[in-house]
Amino acid sequence: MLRLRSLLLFLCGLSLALPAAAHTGPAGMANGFLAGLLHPVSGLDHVLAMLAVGLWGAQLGRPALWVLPVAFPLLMAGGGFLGLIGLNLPGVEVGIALSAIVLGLAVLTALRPPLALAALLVGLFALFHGHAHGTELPAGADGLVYSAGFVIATGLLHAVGIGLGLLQRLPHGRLALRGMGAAISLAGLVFLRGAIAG
Amino acid sequence: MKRPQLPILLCLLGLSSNAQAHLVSTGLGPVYDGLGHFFLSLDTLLPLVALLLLAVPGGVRRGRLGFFITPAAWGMGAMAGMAGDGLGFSAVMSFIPAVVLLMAGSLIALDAQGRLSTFLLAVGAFVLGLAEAGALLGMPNAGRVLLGSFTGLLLIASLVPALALALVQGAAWRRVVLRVGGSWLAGIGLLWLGWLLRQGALA
Repeated sequence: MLRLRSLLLFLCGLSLALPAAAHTGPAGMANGFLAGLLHPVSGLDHVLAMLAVGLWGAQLGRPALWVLPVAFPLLMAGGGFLGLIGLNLPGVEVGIALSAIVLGLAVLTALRPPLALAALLVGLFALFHGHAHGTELPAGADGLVYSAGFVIATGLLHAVGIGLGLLQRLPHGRLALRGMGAAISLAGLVFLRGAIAG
Repeated sequence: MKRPQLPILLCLLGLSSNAQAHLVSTGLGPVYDGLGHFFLSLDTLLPLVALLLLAVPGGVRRGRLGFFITPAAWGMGAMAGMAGDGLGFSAVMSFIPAVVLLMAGSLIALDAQGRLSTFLLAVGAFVLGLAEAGALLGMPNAGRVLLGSFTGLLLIASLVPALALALVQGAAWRRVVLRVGGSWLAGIGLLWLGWLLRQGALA
């Protein structure tokens, strides 16, 4: 009860916060951070794949619950790095589409590979997502704040996926989870068609 | 600090009024310029915070060690940078904070606790001090600006490990949160490094 009261007090306090007006830098740090925060949600293919990672992690349970959402942002940053320095990664859009298909299927079938294999699979797809984002970095952006917004948004999407994954504790929750996996997989097929068509 | 008081503290922080965050331009002097620059520049603050968090997985003892080692190493790096004209690292000075952020974040994610992480903390702090001095070389009152930055560093070094240690004590999931945070810091550092390299290539 004390914790709940403290939490409510904290939330009330947050709602009373005044703007800090602490913008700095000619490019506007706030704008750069917001741009980075919004970029991962700019494409449905990215969003669904990141949700799928969270869902799958929740299905697999600990330690995959946090290992997969750690592997994805880290390897995604790696892919972003490659994109930023101009190293080409072939078939990026196909890879992104496949990530939605494969991860969706993993959730649908409640696939339980060894943790290392699951992390490897997630990391491989993360490279494609990161590379696509890295090549799309807007000119003039503040690299640090943009990167911060970007990584945080990715992590939060995984958290949403994990939160949705907790539905499996409810009656018919596991079925609902598998339904989400099926939907993600079907969407991935649509993305793949678009990627192949050009 | 008892845990129920922490949300109240955070709540009070949320009641902050306007930050008036342009000390650099208010003419309060070079020391305050350095202090303000330190707190208002994410590229200076974030790598340092990551380094200080590196001391946390090792427990209270290593956390205390981090509190002493970080400012000492940073100060030595800053003095070396001022005395030695950047020690010849001027070409790579701008990349140092990104590399430090990447390294520290990766080690936090890996839950590194040994002497190697303490050593790398010291090295990271040294090169950050070196980079900070390098960025100020040739500017008037650079020494005083660095003094202000050092003061800010002491304040952060006294708060960050202590708060982080208080947060990770107890349930195992709290430590997982720290590791996840470390992976985010590493990811940010890697993207930032790539961005810097791209900017360097375009320049």
